[in-house]
Amino acid sequence: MPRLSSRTALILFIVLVVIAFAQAIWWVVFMAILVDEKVDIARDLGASPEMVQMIQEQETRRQIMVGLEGTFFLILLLVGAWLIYRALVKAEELKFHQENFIMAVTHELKTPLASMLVSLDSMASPRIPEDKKQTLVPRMKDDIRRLERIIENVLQAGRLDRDGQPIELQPTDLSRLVERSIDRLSGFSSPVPVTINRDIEPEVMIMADQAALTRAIEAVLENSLKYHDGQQVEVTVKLTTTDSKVMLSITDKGIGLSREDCETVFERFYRVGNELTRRSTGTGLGLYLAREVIRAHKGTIAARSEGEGKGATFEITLPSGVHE
Amino acid sequence: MKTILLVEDDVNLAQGLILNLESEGYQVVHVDNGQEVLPVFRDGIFDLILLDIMLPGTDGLAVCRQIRNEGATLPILFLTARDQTDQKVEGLIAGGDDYITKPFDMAELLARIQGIFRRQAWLLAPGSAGETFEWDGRRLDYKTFEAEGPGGKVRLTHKECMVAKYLIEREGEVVSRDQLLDAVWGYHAYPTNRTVDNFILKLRKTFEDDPASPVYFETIRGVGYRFKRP
Repeated sequence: MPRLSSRTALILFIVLVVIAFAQAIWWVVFMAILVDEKVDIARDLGASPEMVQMIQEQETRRQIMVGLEGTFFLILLLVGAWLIYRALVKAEELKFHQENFIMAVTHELKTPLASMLVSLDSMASPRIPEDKKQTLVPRMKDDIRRLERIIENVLQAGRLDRDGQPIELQPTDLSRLVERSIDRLSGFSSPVPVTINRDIEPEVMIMADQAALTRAIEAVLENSLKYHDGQQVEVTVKLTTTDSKVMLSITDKGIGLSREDCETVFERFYRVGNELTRRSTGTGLGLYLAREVIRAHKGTIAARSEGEGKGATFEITLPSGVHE
Repeated sequence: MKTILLVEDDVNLAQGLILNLESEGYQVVHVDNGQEVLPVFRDGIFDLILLDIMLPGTDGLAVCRQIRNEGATLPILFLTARDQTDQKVEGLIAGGDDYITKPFDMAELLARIQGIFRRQAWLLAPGSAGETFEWDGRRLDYKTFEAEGPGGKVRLTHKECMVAKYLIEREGEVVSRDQLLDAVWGYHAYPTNRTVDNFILKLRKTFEDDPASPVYFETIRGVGYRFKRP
């Protein structure tokens, strides 16, 4: 949970609510006293009983009117205070996630850099045998690709803030696009054995921005590959069509998601677990960007899980068919 | 051959480190998450732990505390992407001996490791008066780190024992904070030389009758510390 550091604002909010209530009670009591006083004065001045009753009715009407107005302003005040409070909590949450994001990005950038530096030192070291040096080149390329992905994600999130998600739709063979993404990620470096099962309906055509959709699908797939149970990675990618929609589901047997995580996992900067003990690498932008791309394609993306430790399924639906 | 337990979750970095450490003649056991460290540590005999802080499962700081709580005194060197001063101090307070921030030069890491082993060898070598030092009914064992003072027996940490040994071996001499940091930690490890004061406080608590008016571990204002027997 994010820490509510703006304690002063919270205290002010509570004080405001208490004052508003006290004010309301004071007005009701004050009006009641005022009516009684006016009636008493009228009696003392020798007004007739009819006149006294008229004054009493008049004052009661005024009391109701003022009471209603007071209630209206009280509600307005409370709603305003509540909105301020909510905005405050949201700002605190965003600040918390942003701090986590900066920490994550720092770590994500520095780790491949550290790995590359160690590899370069190894290349230059006379103590490392030549055959071992050959294994360093693909590792360095992998480090560069990781850096490139992180930088691309951060830049894309920045562009999204500024311009929204621009897409250029063109007829696309989604089956081929998904197959190619799986091929690319099959070489995903993982400390545990990786299996990706494919159940891809062939030649599924849709209108898509190929580059953006590839990035989105690969972000979801990579997420499923990363959050493993420490033993093995087994991911099943299934592509099917109905009359008007195509459905791409990516199912893993990893650490799973809580009900709350299923909702929040697509939020910007969100990452499962705290930063020091995060289950895997990432900046918390991949799934957020994927959702924005899918939405721009008039599609949906959702996460389902039976609970923590029981794997997760990400379902993407997109409009099917090709049109000009 | 010295054995290093490497705890690093990044596959590429871990493989690069293993390659270099093995070529330097160290034996390396690799663990890629925080939860497996303790079982592996209990099953093996290690001379040093290279510990990443951001780890899946249990973070490196918690792992370090657990290892220290088990009474283990082997050196722990943090590999970390976190370079804020308070974060570094946090690691050292958790029981780490040194840290290196990512990205780092392999030569620097190897020099740090050698420095740690050199200081370790100095600590474990018998002092000028033997493996234990006794005075005025107090006793300090350099091998087991056991200390006995007016309050009874306690086990000092690796670093506390090193600070005590360094001062005792220079009995009567004034030792500056920088000198102590350089000898015990390697100067780069501590961002502030005031941190050494906490270690002196612990020694006073262990060996002095009244820690507020120390007789053995004196502060020399503006300079450092001196060990002397009245």
